[in-house]
Amino acid sequence: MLFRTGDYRALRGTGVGLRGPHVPQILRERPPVPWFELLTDNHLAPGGALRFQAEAIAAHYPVTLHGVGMSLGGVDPLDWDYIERVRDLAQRTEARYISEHLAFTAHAAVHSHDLLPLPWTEEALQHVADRIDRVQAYLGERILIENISAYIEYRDAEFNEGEFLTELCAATDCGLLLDINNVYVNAVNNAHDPLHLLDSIPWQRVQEIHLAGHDARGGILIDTHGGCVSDAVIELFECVIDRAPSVPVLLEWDVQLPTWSILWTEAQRLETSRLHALGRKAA
Amino acid sequence: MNLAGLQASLVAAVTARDAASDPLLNSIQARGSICANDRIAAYCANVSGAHLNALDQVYPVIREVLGARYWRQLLHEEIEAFASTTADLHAYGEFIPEMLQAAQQRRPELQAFPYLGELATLEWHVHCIRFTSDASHFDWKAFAALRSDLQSLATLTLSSALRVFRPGYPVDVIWHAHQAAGETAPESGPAAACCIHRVNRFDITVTRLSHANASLLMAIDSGSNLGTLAQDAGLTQSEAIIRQLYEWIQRRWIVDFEAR
Repeated sequence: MLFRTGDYRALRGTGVGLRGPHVPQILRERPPVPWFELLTDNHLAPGGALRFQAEAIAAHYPVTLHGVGMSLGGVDPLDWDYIERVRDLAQRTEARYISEHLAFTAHAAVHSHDLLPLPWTEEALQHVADRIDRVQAYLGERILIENISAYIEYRDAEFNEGEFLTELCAATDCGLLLDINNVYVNAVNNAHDPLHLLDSIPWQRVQEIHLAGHDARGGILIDTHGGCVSDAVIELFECVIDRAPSVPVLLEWDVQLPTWSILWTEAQRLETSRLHALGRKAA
Repeated sequence: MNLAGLQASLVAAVTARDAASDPLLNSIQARGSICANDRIAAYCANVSGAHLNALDQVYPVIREVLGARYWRQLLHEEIEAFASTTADLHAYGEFIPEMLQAAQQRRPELQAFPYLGELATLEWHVHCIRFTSDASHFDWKAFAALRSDLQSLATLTLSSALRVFRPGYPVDVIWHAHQAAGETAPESGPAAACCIHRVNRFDITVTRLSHANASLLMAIDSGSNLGTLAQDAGLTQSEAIIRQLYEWIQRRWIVDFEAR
């Protein structure tokens, strides 16, 4: 396949997930954010403010697209109208790359708008690999696949998550978007050692790292994106950052959205943490 | 369970109020102290939260009129399943006007608000036009280049960011009262009709229309050509119609024409 792999323009440092309320201030003050990630689904409309925001930010900053609605693991037919609109948005914003989740979100045209986990089985692997192949062929480029926070794990797994991701990358040539908060949340909720997964993923495929906050609800850690990144997640991040030293990092913060100043300060804190960890490891 | 069966069971469990099926519960790995039902409940909370937040965004005035706590309670009690039919969460919530009207039949506390359904319809229109295509500019040069007989056969195109709405209650007054300071509320009696329009990429206006102007917009929308519009207006009014059309082109309510 003729994937657009050669012209990936490098992103560096710690970027920020763009949220609408911050856009006017960002356009006015132009803070030195290395790049922004746009939530694809927020900007697919044919007109209006959200479309304008995407184009205005992309005129001043490198952007990537991060979607939640493709349902790559779903058994419903792929929504080619949706995928076409993603492609159009990517072209209009000159997005550096497109990412989606290793999940399904709908069944029989009932959409949950939440990322639901796949079983780690050969059937699921073949199914999602075929769909990623078709999406990449249509888009004409390699996409990144993100590991999700999963509050359930299925019995009868034929792989562990690391093996599944490795097989998937090999089968489709896709890249990985590694969400370290999701790794941590899953490890706590499912009584795993997070390093076990981090030791088993194909690091050469990792093109981006996500960091975000989580909350405890009823004894379960929930990937809320509702606050600062926890110390435990930063510790895990620092532990593995030398495996992907030049991979761009992104702060996601979606609910209880703080002021731009607080968000940008948090992103800078993560960048400092990244640089210090790399310095320590180099020494 | 195969992949399709598992997906059907999990989507049903996290969107509907029914208990998770036994085959689904049996397919979930027991880990630590968190039982399968609690794990499913975490998804249910996420799914309902996403849909409720979406409705809060679409219906801010209804939410203020009813009070945030009552609004949430009402949604929890009246909505059977939190799920939508497209991947676009912005398209969720069209059912609310009808749901409110039905709830009013059963809930005495809502009977003092007979306008709720119409107010919700107004908010749904406002919400939808936030996402429509940006209006083009009417091409005066191309229109002027048409022969006069073709001009009279031309039909006009309304902006996709425009809706005409005929409420029975003065819900536009309520809507204006809940906007940011600086909005001018219209007179308080019921409007013959309202025009809801996105002025540029950001700002939404809700403007009162006379019966005649509402009918004229409806006629344009149904494809009447300029000659027919003028003929229907009669000799005494045709000049007024032309002035009105010119004003609507300036306001970008009318954005294009089609020569037949």
